[in-house]
Amino acid sequence: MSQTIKGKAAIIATGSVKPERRMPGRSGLGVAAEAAINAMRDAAMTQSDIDGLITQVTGETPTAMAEYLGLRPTWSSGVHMEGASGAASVTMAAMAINAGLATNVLCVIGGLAPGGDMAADAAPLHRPQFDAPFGPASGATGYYALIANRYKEEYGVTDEQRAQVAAQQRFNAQANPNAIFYGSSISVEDVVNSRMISDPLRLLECVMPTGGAEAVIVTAADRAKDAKNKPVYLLGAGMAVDRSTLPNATSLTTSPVAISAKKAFEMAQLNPKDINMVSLYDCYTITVLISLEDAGFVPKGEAGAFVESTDITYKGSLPINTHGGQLSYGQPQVGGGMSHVTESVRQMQGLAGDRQVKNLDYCFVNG
Amino acid sequence: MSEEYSLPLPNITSEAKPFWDGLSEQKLLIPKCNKCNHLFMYPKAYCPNNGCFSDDLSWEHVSGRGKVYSFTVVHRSADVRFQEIASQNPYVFALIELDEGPKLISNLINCEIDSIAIGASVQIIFEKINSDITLPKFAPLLD
Repeated sequence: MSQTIKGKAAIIATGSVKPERRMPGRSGLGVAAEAAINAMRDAAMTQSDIDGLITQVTGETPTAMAEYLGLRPTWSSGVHMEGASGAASVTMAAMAINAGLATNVLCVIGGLAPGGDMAADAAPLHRPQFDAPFGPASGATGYYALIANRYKEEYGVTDEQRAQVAAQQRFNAQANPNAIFYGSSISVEDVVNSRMISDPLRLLECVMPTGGAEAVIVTAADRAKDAKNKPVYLLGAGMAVDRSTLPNATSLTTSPVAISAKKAFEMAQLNPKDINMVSLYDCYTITVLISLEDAGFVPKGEAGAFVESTDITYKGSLPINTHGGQLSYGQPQVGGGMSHVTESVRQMQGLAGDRQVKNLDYCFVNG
Repeated sequence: MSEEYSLPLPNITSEAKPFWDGLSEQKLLIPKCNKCNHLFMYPKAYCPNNGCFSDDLSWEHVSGRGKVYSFTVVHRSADVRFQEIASQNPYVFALIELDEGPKLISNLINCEIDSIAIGASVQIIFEKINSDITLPKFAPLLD
């Protein structure tokens, strides 16, 4: 008997909370609950329909999330894959469904904006000991700047090429009223002239931490066809963990996406050329370029030239991060990674409004 | 020092204490597995080399020489205590690859920022903060 999760589960509903810098009087659990309730409404489900829960709300446990929502799941788990938690949660939900442990799994991720020092809020134990004395840049910018400069050394990307990612994603955000930078266009020139944070990364290449939350409901494939909305089937999935710290990275310029994407494509029996739309984790511009290569859409070292010569907006030949990406949508804690999932599902369901991509058969999402 | 040091100091963990004690004595000590001779960072209780599992570890006194694996000039810091320094006098945050293999996060000091290049040879500078703490910083290797 095949144990594959290929095609065994589908996402049938989404829920989001518009990212905001400040959410006075609200709790992280409350914001996550709003996304979860939006997803249950989208599915025309209630708490009693949900028997599985996967969650990460900053500083809270899955049991606290269940109690807050009034859920009594018979299968539950936390998810702690950092920015990949959103995509990972869908994979875990499909596993639980395929194992017969749950039927309708709610995945909800988010929280309030970090209190000030994001690096300290989310700091793995090594950071205060081995990094903090040397003054890392804001957020994770210092680490991604090390990656960006190493990439520049090995493959020769220009500042303008990285800026294309930020500018084209911002174009997408102008068709997304939920994006934090809706109503605020930027050009490549704006990006390369924005304030330097940590050389070579400038302000408009860095994600903005916000509060907010994102949720989906994953259902067994045999039930999904009866769902209120068009089901979006999970055809392939892969995970890869390489390191927690940069000194122990196998490479600064090839990411674990090279492994996880290969596994996902193999399971789905698809190739990058079969994909109509891509949603790539984008804490920084450089992340998109490296992931685009490692997932197999562009040969290694050529992503900079590719985004310079290609329309990657929702109108283009290879739409990337149609909600604006986290760079323009906002990064509601690790829910930022989940926003790539919710956006891709809405696109596949034909519910993406003014930014709807036409003729979608398959999309690729990573975290 | 006449002025009190106001920047973050390491929260020294038990597994890493010999690393910091070594720095106070002007020695860069890196964890080494006595079974397979693997050198690694950060300090831990077991050798991480595939299949080794050894807890027979020692501290190797390494040369303190290495190369710039990558670097960035920080203009905005995560820590408010670095904020004023970063905005007025940007500094270099770097990933150093020791000649013996392991990599370390550190600062590059005593150098012209414009002249730094990936691959440049560097050597350790022991920056004594107080009797307990000496920070491992790096500077261009003098010929």
